[in-house]
Amino acid sequence: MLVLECNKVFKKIGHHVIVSDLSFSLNEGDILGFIGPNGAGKTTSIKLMLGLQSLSGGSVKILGYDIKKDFVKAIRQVGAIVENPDLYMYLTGYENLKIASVFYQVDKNRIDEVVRLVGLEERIHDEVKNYSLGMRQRLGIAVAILHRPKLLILDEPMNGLDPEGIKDLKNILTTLARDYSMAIIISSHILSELESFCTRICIFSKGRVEKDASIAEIKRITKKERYCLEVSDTNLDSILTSYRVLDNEHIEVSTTRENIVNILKALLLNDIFVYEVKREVLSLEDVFLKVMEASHDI
Amino acid sequence: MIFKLMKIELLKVFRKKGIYVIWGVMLLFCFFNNFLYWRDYDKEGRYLYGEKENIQEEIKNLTKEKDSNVLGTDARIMLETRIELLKLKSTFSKNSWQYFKVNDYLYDALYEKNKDSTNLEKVKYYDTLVSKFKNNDYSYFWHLEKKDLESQISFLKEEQENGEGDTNLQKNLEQKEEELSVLNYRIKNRIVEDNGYLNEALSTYLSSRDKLKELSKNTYQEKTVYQEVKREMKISEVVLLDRVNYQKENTLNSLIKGIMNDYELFFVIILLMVSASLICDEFQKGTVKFLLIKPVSRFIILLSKYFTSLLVLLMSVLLVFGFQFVLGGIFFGVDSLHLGVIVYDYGLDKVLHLNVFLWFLISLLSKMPSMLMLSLIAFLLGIVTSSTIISMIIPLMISIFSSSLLELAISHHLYWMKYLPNFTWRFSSYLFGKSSGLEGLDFWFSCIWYSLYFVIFLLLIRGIFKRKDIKNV
Repeated sequence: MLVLECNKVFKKIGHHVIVSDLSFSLNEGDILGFIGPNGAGKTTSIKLMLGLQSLSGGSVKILGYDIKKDFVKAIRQVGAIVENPDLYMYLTGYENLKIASVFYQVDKNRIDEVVRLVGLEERIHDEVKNYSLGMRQRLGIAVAILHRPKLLILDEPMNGLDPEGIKDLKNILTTLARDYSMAIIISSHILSELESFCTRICIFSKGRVEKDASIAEIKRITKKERYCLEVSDTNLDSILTSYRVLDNEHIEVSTTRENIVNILKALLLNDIFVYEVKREVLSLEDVFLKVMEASHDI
Repeated sequence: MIFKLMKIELLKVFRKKGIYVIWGVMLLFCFFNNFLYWRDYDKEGRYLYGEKENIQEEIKNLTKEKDSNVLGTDARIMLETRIELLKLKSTFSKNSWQYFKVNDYLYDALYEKNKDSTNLEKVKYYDTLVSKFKNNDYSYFWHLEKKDLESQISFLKEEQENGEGDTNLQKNLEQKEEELSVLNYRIKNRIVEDNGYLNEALSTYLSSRDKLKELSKNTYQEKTVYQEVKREMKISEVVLLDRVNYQKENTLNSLIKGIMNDYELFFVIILLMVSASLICDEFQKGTVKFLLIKPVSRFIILLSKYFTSLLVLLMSVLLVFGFQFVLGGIFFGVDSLHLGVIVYDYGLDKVLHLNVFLWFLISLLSKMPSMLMLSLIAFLLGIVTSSTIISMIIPLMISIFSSSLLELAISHHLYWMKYLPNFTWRFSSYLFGKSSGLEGLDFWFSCIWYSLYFVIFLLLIRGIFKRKDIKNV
């Protein structure tokens, strides 16, 4: 079932275009990742989908309801965290959940259930101002899923979570998508946070979606990695077809994880000593560049 | 849904310390107000510690003057008389009739005695007067005064009949007859010339009555002044007829009557503080997003906050009312409640007696239009600026300076100012047919323009809030 449909969504302030030509759709069970650097338009796009900012053009439909014309019906099936978990710091976690429950006629049992789900049983009656950042994130998620929404939108929810917290969150989200057929949009500026459980990725840059692709396709494009080698001789034209000399002792090669072994063998067989091999993690710009290169190649 | 949202907003208000601080200050003010009235006013409602005439200083100066060698005999005797009477005066309470009448009743006799201290008759006469004076025998002096006036009137009438005397004779005769009439009224109703409410009412009645004879009603300003003088006269008349001190301040009745005026500033501050924080805090802390992605229209969210601020205002009014009732009952008892309130109805030209609780309700309702509008202005500023300070301070300043601005408009004939929103919400000025003081600014004008401004502000708020983009943090 189609949960979310964005069609040529456009946002302009004065002469400055913030988001342009945002078009995609989301079905039940999809987990869509928004990735892009800060200022790329991820949060603004999320706000446009939720009616927190007005559309300059285009349309957003949630379960068939237009966000402009039928806001209440459209937003009823949405849970979201935008920028930060927006909680009343001087109230307890439980009171924050109670407030949210008023809007959806949710009973006490459901509140207790989500508290257990996010693991806040012991601290739920403490004031939110005394929570750690991770606990606030978890409470924010509890508020967002309280009413069993069909669409869940999380804006950088991993911020402040430790590795265990990130793992727990991924498990929760995967369960929600699988067992409750929830469509999820999750944004981040770190690809590795998303790639393990998203089904699709939208890459944002300068207010546009530069690429909307499945995870498999993104992985294929970004499979090649960069390796920095410290070698005894940097003149390797006879051995390697493609490499870059960094300085008198270092070269850089771009290859897959499987092929680096072959490269090292070739160097050693040609009496080139390799003193150090360093694998460079691809920055987001690298991912973006690779994705753009791949798109242009097509 | 709106009531459920209001419950949430009330939770937010009462989980913060601010409301308790201001309530605490307000109740402390109430306590001190009651305490000071209890301590500093006597049973008759007269202030005990007013500015004291520095009698001793005056005695010292006169004595110095008397002891200098430059005065003649008569002047010295006069000073001696004055000094002696001042010393006598200082022995009486400043609220007593003796304090006010010592010169009128004793000066001549004492002067004669001092002039001829060997004259036993004069000495005895003076001693008799002093004895009566000290024994509170005001009837004696009234009798003397009456005899004197009757004799003067008789003399003047004789002169009139004989065709003697100048053109002022008739005027003098009328004046003396008037004085006699007032004296007879005092004697009949036992109203001594002290600092009490009956004497004050009588003085006010007489001076208002005289003023009315001279005032004209040609212009709007003159009519307004005439109205106010007539009001004073009518109110005093009722006080004299009922022999009730309706104006007595140190009673539970009076303190309840004055709640809406005495605590108005507190109420305005509470209203603006709650209004500003309910809207601005949400924007400043980002929790506005929490609300705006819920399945409720923005306007309903806004209305729930608006009604909550008004509800907190009413709770504050009731809190003061309840506290005042209990505290006033303890300090002053509840007997005064049956007195009620007297109000001059300008339209009917008569004084109405109202139950004090009814008066309280009327004054509360008459202040509500201004409160409704002030809260609306705070909301509008809050939505536009997201600044708690601006949303509070600007409406507060408007409220505080509104009266001064009206006086300025009246004194400088700035009639166009009647169109200003803060002039149109002053419905308490129109209670019982009173005029605002500014020509053209009447009840119906205010009704029309107030309604217009209210609708405009509401539509502005709705429009701006509906379209407001929630910016990135």
